Amino acid sequence: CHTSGMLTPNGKEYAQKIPREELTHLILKLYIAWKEPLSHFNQHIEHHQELPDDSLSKAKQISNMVHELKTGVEKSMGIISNSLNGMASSEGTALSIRNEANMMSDSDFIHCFRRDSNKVQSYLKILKCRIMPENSC
Amino acid sequence: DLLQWPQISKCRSPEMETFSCYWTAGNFYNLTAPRIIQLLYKKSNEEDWKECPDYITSGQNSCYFNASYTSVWTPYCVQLASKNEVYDKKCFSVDEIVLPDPPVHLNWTLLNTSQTGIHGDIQVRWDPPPTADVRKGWITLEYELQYKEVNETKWKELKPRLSTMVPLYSLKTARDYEIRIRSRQRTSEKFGEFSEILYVSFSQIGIGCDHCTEEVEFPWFLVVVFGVCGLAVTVISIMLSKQPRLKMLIFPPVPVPKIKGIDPDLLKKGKLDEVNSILACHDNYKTQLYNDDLWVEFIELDIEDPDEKNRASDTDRLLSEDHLKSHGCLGVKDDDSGRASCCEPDIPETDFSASDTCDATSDSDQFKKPTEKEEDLLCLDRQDNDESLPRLANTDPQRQHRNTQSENSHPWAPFTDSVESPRPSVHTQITNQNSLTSTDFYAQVSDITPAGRVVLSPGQKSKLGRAQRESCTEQNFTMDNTYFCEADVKKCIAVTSHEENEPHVQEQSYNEDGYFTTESLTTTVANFGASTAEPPSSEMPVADYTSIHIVHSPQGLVLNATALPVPDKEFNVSCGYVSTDQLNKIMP
Repeated sequence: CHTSGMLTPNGKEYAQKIPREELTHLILKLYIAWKEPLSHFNQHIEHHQELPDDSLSKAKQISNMVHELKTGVEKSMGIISNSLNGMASSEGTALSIRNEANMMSDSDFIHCFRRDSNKVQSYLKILKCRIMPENSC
Repeated sequence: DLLQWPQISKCRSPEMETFSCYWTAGNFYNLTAPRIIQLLYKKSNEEDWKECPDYITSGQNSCYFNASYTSVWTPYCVQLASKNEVYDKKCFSVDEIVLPDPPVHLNWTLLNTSQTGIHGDIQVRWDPPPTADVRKGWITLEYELQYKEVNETKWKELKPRLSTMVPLYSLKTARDYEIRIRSRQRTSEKFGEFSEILYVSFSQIGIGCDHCTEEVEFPWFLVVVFGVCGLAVTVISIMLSKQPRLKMLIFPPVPVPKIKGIDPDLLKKGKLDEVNSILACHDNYKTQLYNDDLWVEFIELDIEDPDEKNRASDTDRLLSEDHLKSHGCLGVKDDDSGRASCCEPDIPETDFSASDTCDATSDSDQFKKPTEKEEDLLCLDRQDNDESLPRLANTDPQRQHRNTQSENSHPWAPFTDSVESPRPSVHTQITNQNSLTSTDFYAQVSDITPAGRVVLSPGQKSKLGRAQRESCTEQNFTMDNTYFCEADVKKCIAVTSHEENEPHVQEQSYNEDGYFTTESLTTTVANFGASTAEPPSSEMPVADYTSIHIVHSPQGLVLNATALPVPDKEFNVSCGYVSTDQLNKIMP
């Protein structure tokens, strides 16, 4: 995956130890890194005749969700810190520009995307628990 | 036995923080020299294979990787090998092999029971597996509950849910139930192991009813059978019942076409007259009313051609004048209606009756008629004198259809008192010429219009006194005109009133076939009285013609006064009456 180079906590303890800002930064980076490849992938999938329509629609649906997620995260990041936005966007775009994303096969692409989406989900949950202290995380 | 190699059966992470791999040893392990099996693992970004750090924690033939060795989204590869051989290899990432532990602490509580106590609702609660850090949200679990009755074999499933409690509705209190729950990570598809079975028994809390064990099923079969039988019995009883009302209520009779007022039996018996009478009540039924039978009573008309009736008025034919419409084959037969009063039975009557053709009826015969009529008139003159006067007074109010002129009333009164000489008023304006009974007070049929209307003329009151003082001699009483104008007569009377006495008038009267009305006589009388009774002013003709509007045959005739339309200039209105041919011109 093209995002393999990112240093992300792979364990719960690590994720809990990271300060909140850094965690959000990571999340944002991931979103930005996946924004472009997803759109490319959408266009690529549309021309695929052998895939059933369900996959196509699902892929489009997912890309839209990712876009919305990114927007939401950016807004929430704006609440926390403005400075991080710029940094994240630069790194993310750097990652996304890379050709690795374009050279992956479809199955690898999907596999990578699934993994990263799972990662983001876990990070968001930890972040949520830490932001709202009533859950006694 | 087949040789089985050692295999890695599964690798599993219960909470996405640690994971374990399990393998099977195979059976050749016993056959050959005991070998040591190792599990080696390698992360994707490493080169060397490392050995399993913990062979014990997860049990035999297992390898346990604790949290320090676990990188969640990192691809791993493990392989089962002995010193020289690699038996099996597997690659995965930890987030893909997450299978949570089963939930713990299952319990149930009673929500409520039905009124009959047969059914009850319970709520089942549990705790998530303790290993999964659900609270911090590191992992999100879904739960699936399954339950069944104790002696059943198939489990009923509820759909997976995130909450750790679920209600169960409508459980039979008489039965015991078993409940089990399993969980899975929300984003994955595989479920973990089932929890321990939870036993639900209502009797333990004292609710189960032992006598409710039998199931009350609605006896649909019996209901249907009895319903059908009852319905059949009801229908049969209705059909066979003698009560027509009930029968009509259930099975109403189909209406048949029917004319109001007509009994079908009448038609069957052939009583056509009654049917005609009934039908005559309806306006559109007129045809058969004036059938030939009515005519036969008075005149035998040799009308074989039904078109004859329609072509010309009957009066024209009957009048038998020169200007009669041709080939009116009239055989006039006198009836006795007028004859009786006139008495002489030996008055010869020319029997013109001929149902046979009487084209041979010559004009001479026609001319004979007036003379005979004169005789008849004379006869009437003599006989009816006495009768006429009283009738004058009596029938005065009987006049129905005059447009009353006020001056008419005046002459009447003195006349009734003072007239001593009966002045016959012979009414001959009839279509039935031989019915001479009537005076002017009788309404007689004066015409039958081609439309089928019968025109009656009760008596001519009005006079057109246009011609005032002309000389009688100037008048040309044509014999062919059987009617003389009153005005003419009156004029003569007026002229000669001073000189002549009554016999003159009588003479005049003999010469004429016109009839006098009392008005003319009044004028005469007035003239005798040397008082110039002014002649009646020119009046418009009274609407003396009536037409039959409706014939209620058994009941009478409804006469409709038709105002005589203003005659044309050409119309000779010198006469106080109009002859029928003139009438035809003006009547529709």
